[in-house]
Amino acid sequence: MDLLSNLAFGFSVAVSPVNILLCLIGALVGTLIGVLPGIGPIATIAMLLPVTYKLDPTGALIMLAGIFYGAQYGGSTTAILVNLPGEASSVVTTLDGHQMAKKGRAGAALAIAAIGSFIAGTFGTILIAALAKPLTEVAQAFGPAEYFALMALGLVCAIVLASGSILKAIAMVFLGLLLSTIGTDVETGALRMTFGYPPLADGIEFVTLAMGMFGFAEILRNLENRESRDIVGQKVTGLMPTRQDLRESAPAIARGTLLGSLLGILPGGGATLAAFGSYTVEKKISKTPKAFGQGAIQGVAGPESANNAAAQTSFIPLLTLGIPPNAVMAVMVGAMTIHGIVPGPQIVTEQPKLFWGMIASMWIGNLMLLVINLPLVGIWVQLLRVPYRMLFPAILIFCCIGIYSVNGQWFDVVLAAVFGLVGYAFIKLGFEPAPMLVAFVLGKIMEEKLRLAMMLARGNWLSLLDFSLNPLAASLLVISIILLVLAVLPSIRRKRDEVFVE
Amino acid sequence: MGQEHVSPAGQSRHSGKNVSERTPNAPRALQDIVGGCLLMLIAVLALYLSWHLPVSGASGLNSGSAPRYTASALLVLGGIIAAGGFFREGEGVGRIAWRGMACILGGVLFFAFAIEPLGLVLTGIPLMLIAALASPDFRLKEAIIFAVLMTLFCAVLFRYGLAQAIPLWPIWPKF
Repeated sequence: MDLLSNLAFGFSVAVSPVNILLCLIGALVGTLIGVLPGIGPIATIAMLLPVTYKLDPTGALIMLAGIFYGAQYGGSTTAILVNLPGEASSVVTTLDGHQMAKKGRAGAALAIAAIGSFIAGTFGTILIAALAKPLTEVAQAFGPAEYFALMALGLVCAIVLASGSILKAIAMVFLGLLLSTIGTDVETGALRMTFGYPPLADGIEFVTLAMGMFGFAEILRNLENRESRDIVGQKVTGLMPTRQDLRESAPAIARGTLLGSLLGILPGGGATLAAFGSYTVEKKISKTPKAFGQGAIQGVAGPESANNAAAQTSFIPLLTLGIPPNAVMAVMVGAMTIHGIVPGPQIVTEQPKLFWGMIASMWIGNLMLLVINLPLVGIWVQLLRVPYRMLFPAILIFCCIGIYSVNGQWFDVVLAAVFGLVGYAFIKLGFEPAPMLVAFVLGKIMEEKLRLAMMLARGNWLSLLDFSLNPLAASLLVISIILLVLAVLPSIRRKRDEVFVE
Repeated sequence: MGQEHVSPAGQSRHSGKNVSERTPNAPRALQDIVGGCLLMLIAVLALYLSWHLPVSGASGLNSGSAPRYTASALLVLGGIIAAGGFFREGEGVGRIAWRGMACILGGVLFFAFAIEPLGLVLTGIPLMLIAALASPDFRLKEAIIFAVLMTLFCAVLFRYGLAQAIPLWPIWPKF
């Protein structure tokens, strides 16, 4: 079997001592930032990018991926024990997870969350492996027009699925696209919007933008409120869930895994949406919906499986098509670029070691996380006693050094401060910055592909929408336009808001 | 969401709801008015900076096309968002971390301008101290000890562990 031999090859790469170690480091760092509220995977991966310079690309990406799915595990620990979401994707886990902890069932909640995450992670990994070949084969037949259309569809999905105002999400996408045009034009060599300042000729560095908009702005937002953490006092006991717990949560885990896998692949979806969706589903189909919010174990099992499944499957569009479906994957594109890897369908054939090694390492990482999280939960709880007043200056110095060391350019640090200010302003004004980051990453490629497509079409705009000339590109573009129009229409918007409120 | 104290993890994508609970009847959608104006400002700046670039060529696109079209779209969207804000009731801006902004961004700018002349050791420690002042429960002794230890750790990690070309000491006088 092709799939099995590929996976076997992947495991042979992933179990090399260095890669195992990097996978472990990634999983540990991920759990750490997952447990700690106030620092998310986007800022962390951006922060650790410079640390991976000296590593080979496979090892670097194995570690960075570990941070992302590790954070999904860690986030539930804080949600259950402290009633605070360690990550945005574990917000819903606080509802029933913390109620269970209050009733002395913290152990069972933690165990179900970890087991559900592991099952979902395993399923997600298998799905990536299975879909990789067919999807890349489709993608290899794509021309520039098809690529442009696909990325446009991705951005539209990111807009439709973003929370808050549609118009604001569209605006953030255009801002991201605009920022991506700064620097030298690849085709003509013209300098664009550089203020005549040489360091800007290379464009805005991805790390600078991500750390400013996510690292700095997040710190500022956290500083608005005094911190209060009520850690559940009693020792966590009874890590083994009862037979009844398992029976009750098994269907929820299965549903959460399937829903999460689907939402992870969709652009704009991702872990947070998956967790919310799963909670809604579980509550709707439950025979005892009143138990939700009072410590229903399905309310922990479903969302925690869903967010981890989505975390895994969001790698599918990135690895097979080279299109990041959400902001974390946009950071992964940044990581690949720094290591000289162009994301896209050619990765499977040109970098089989990287591709299959990364997939295999994800399963190994999930296994490690099961061990890291369950028996060692006490250590992570202790970490919650590290106050935020010590945490954020440490994050800050790491960010500053990281930004500076990308190009050895002090001006990049100034730019990051500006982005921090702008990012914080946008957060305060109700704009979500995540679609902007995705658009920034896609912007350069989209412009290149569009110009190439236009060249082939000899400047005829309408040929892109001509079904007889470019059937695939035209249908993707038409779908994008229909989706966008539907999303802006007020009646649908109200329905969508209702979903988010739940 | 039943979250009374979402601090400091206020990372929930859906925290907008909490804000509205805090300020139930802000007069107009101040967020939208200010946000829309900010977008228009950025768009106008971009249009001004990219106006001299050509927008048409043999293929119908040129180096100036992408900046001008995206900036124009941003200008229109900003206008719609701002105008809409005058006609709707909506959310105010809420609490702003002024002290945090001064300390965090001030610290980062200090780092940017000082790293090359002063080196990491003499830049990192003040950066962490300036930043720590942002916290409402600042403790001087703890902050100093932590700043020194963390800076030294970073110096060793980045310079020796990761072999990054980052200056550690002032360039003049030579050490």
